[in-house]
Amino acid sequence: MSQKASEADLALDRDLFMRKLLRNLSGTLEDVVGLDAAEGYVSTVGGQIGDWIDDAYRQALGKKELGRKEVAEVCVDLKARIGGDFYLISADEDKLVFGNRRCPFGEMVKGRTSLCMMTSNVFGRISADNLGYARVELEETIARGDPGCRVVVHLKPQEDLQPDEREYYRLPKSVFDDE
Amino acid sequence: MRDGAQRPIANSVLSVLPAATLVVAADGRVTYANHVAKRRLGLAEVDGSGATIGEWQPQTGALPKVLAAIAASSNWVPLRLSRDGETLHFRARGLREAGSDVAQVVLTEASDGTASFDDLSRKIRTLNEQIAIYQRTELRLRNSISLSRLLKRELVHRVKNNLAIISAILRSKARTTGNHDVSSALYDAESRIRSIAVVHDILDLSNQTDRVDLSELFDQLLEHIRSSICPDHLQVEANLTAAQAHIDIAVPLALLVNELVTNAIKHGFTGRAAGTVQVEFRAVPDAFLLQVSDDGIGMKVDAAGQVDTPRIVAAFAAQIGTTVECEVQDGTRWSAVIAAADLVGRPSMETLVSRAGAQRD
Repeated sequence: MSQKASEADLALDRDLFMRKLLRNLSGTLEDVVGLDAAEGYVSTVGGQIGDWIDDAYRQALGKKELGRKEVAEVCVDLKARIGGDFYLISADEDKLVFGNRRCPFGEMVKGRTSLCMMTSNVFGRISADNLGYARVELEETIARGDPGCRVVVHLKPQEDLQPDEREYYRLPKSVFDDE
Repeated sequence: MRDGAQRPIANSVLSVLPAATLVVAADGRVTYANHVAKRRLGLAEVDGSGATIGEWQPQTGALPKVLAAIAASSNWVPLRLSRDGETLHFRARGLREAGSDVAQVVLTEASDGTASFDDLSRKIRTLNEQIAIYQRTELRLRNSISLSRLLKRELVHRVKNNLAIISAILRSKARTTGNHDVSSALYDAESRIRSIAVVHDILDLSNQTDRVDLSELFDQLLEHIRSSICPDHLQVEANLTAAQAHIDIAVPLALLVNELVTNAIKHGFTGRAAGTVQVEFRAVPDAFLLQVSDDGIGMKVDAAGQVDTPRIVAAFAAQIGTTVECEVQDGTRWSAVIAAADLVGRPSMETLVSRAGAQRD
């Protein structure tokens, strides 16, 4: 007896479709232009998204600028809203340390390390624009095969950057206004 | 460059890098550029001269905003700058000296997949555009060739009709003129024109423009001769091999056969009650042999035993690129050997010029 396509038991919905699309898109980008250049493209987008999310939270919370504690809460909350499971491990005046049990991209992120630039740029942009400076270090990532992510947002500049660190400086307002 | 003691070394290293490397402020002012960068971006001397990359524009957005966005992080991001149709690919990132809030951007020309991919994409687009142009040109040429063939076939058809009209006029005049010599000359002319017309008849019927089958040509030609000038007591027989020939060869060949057969019928059987004219066309190694023979009284020979070849016969043979030989024994036999290569291919201009020269001589 033939079954209707609409009754077929398969895990296909808009969310899976979008995640699959992003996986294939980033994989193609990494293959065609190389990992470094692909990270550059994702960083460009991540910076714009970070600026957009920062504005949205500031407006929603009715604040011109967020403090360190609020930045940490925003980072955890935004990830929860898009399907991640980030949590704050520690927070002091030097750094914010986050853990993560589930990537918003799900299993689709494995092997697509360029997508981690979204987290680095969104966390880095929000932190730097509110606190003046951020240096994001991706110590562990699900994309690289770790069981979870460990992301450290350093808030004080230092002399030399580690390979997995990216610096972010306060962005003059209106740079992304028309984007 | 943060450590003052290391600055000269850093400058030396940057200056010898093969990739264009420069540092600009967020407003586009150049604060450092190595030699390659100065050349690639057309920068004047940087120190104290106020050099800027303001003439170069990114793909999207205004240069100051793009530079400001890049200056806000240490991420290496792709940046394409264009000026007057020239595009340079860079990777760029923010750069801040320790303890400074001055936003700067360091740019280094990309030799990675970003530039290669874009370059290849552009080349593929150009190739595709050229292929499209070639395809359109090929289509136009094919249409032009088709039209040319159509016009050529139309031309063949009209030439055939015109030759038929001329032939009919000459035949009519030949019948009605009271002078035997004039009548004879008109019949000769009509016969020759008819020989040419046969070639065009065959071309027209076979939808061809430049090649005919010689066995078909000779068949029709001899049939016309039988029905027009051959008296009942004479027979015209043929033994023909099929062979394709270009009309440049077929026309003089038809005229040659017409001339030899007509002459045999007119002059070869004086006083005879019966006789046969035989036309043979057959293949021999690398050539074809044409023979027109009769069992008549035989042509007159001179004291040396030679036959005086009619000038028009020699002229037609020369056009084909051959000569004719005559043997008189129990009648007359004309022979001509035609190279196979001359039949199938159009003679080159050099060959035609050479033959024309030989004909004049």
